[in-house]
Amino acid sequence: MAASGSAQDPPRSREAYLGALDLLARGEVEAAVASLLDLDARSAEIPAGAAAAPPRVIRRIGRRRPQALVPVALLHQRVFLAYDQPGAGGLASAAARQAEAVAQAYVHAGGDRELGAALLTSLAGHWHSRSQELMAVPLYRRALALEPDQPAALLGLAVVEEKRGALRTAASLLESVTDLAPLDREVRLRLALVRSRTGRAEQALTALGDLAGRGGGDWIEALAHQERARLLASTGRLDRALVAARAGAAALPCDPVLPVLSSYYSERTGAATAGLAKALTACAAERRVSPRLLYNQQPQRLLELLQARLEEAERQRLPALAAALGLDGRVE
Amino acid sequence: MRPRDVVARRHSPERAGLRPSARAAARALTVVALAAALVGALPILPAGAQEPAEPWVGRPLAEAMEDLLDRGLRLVYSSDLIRPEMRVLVEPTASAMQVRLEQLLEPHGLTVQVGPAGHLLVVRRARPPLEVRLVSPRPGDVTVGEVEVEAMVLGEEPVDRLEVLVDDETRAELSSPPWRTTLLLSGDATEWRIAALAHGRWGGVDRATVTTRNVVFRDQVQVALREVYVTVADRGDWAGELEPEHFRVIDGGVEIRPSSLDRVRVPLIAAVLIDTSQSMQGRALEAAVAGAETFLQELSAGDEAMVMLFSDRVRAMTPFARGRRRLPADFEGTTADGGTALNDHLYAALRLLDTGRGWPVVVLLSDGADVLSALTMEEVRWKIASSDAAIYWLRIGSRERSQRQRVSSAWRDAAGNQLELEELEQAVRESGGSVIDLAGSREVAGAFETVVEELREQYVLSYAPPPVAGADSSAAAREASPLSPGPVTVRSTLPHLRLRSLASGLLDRASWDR
Repeated sequence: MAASGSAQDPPRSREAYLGALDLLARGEVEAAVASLLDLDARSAEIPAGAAAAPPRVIRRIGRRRPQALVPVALLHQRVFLAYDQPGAGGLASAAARQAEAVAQAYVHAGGDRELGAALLTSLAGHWHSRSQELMAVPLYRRALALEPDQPAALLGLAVVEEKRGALRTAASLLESVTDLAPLDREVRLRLALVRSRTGRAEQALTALGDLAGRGGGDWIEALAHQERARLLASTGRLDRALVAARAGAAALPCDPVLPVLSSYYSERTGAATAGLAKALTACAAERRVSPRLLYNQQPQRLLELLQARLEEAERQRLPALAAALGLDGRVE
Repeated sequence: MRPRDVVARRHSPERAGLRPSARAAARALTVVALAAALVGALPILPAGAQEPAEPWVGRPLAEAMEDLLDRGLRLVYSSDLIRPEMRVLVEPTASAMQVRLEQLLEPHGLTVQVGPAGHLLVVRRARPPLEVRLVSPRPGDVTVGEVEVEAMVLGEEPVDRLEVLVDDETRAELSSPPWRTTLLLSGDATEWRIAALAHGRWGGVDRATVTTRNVVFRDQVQVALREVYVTVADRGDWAGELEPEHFRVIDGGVEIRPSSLDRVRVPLIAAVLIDTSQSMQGRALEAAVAGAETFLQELSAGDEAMVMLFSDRVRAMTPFARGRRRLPADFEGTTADGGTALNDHLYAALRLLDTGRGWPVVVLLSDGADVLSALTMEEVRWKIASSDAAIYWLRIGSRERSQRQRVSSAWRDAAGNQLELEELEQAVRESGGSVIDLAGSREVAGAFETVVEELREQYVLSYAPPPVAGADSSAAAREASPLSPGPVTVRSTLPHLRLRSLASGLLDRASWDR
């Protein structure tokens, strides 16, 4: 168990930790998170991660009811997410190490490998969302060691590889994800964009045209319009690029980039343009995350689906946690 | 004149003893006054007489009237002419009371007449004609590119402001003599209607209009002198006046001593772009917004500007507006977040500048780490090359620091982003602007001031061009001649003086054979 090398659990820490698990077993998830955060706050003199799961508690829960460790692992992920302020890096890292250790304990105790891989992928996704790719990559890889077809882990690695400029590796990973999730629009968008940069422009244009034509009104559609226009322009088809950018701007009036592209291609082709200032400020008051920034971050949709699946698994396993804790809520 | 609502009263010693403020309070329904004492034409303030401790400027004019009345001036005025809202605009300096009275009244278009029984009557000044004439250009002149417009104002009415209009659109506004400005005229019209519209301080208005001819670009009108516009970016150690002998123009490989050097003031149209992305967290953003406000405060009446806060999208943007003003209050509360799409917003700013008139300038405050733009810097450079805009990049952090930061994104790897940074720097230089490195937020305000100062150091050098063989020999030769005869280099004979072309486009136009 990371962050707790002692074979003996300190009694005060153990009691407080078991109290948090009691709350979790009763379905009071937020209270359980608050309890662990409070334990950290009250233990300022103890190294970061005072809410470390006492190893003996985890071992005994694993022996009695391995399934009960799934909600416990997710509890530590929630603590990790709660430390999102600058300066809480040490506590966040400790919480993440706990979440990882409990997930590994779950697998070692005979838990479902696919679910174990999902727990590790989810944790990797949280690191990825903080732009901590160095922390995310080993977790994605550990997840794939447990379950080679974990699509969100494959996609997460592909996104990291793309950002590193390893486009062929990224394309190969994305093709694997496409086989596993052929209808996923984000995967198709990312594959199209990587292909466009690896000399497969026509394939990419077809995919982007399809994604743009199907609508959706979201960041995926916006990027499909933007990148289709850019690809047409970069291959010398400025007139068609202008048409694509204008169609996108008409469909998605709050997109921040399509009016700029539309204006640029208008100027390059000598076509008339107007209303750039109005288009730029149309949705300025809405604090939207731009499609290009979303694309630059962690995979979105597959991780959301994975998270939903884990939360369902957590609900199903809370009775197992209650049973593992015993009638009086104590393992020992 | 028989003033309406005139009430006559006798001067009373009690009233004379009132302090100005108390008198003001007592004078609910002012009008008038008629002094009982002293029937003298020009009473003089006695030596050692008590002058008001405070200056009169800013106080109610009626209060000043009463003061003179209390001092014994026989004065009659009406509330029609001396209205409660009227204030003393100029501090009276004369000791002769009538002259003092005239000094008080003059800025309001009023004067005094001697009436029956030697009373001084406040009357409206017979409004003198306000007449404006255009000295330059003259009707039928050929006007293209930089055109100096000079007006002459006649008449006694002081001029409050003078507008210079082209085709009924205000292009410059002058508030004091000389009534001279330089305009940029370009477009397809065959003629221009250039007008000077004088607004008198007393409400008079007069307009003079001339119609001039535009030049079709292919036409070449030979004139003796060429002009080249420069800004002096840095005077080095030179604190004196700049003279023509401090410069050399190299045109067609020939070094020429300019015949004249004149300061010019081309109205600006500026776009101030402030990066509000996450990398600007901390005091940098606060300082940037304050710096932008400083910039706006330094503008002249004829200048136009807009301010855009951007990250990976536009966060807030003001419209273009003329003259000094403050930023909207909500600009100050902007927080730094999101990624940076510098290229996209730099292009958007350049595009928006296209629609305005004046010398286009972009002032960009950013660390320059663009990772999200859809447009590449190469694409933006295409725009910069076709624009007259000078770009000033106030770079938070040094070039070395930018190079150390190896930023990669899904859109470009670290090497690609580095290349974008280098291209931006190159583009700024090509635009005629400059990169100003800022070590921290404390230097932001000073950097904005530096830009404003540099923008004001504008000069035009006139010189006799070198002879061009065959340039005027035939129509065919004229057709074949390029609009611009080629690059013109300006050098200074003063050490450390740093020059910059006012704008590449202007330089081209200045180089036409007009």
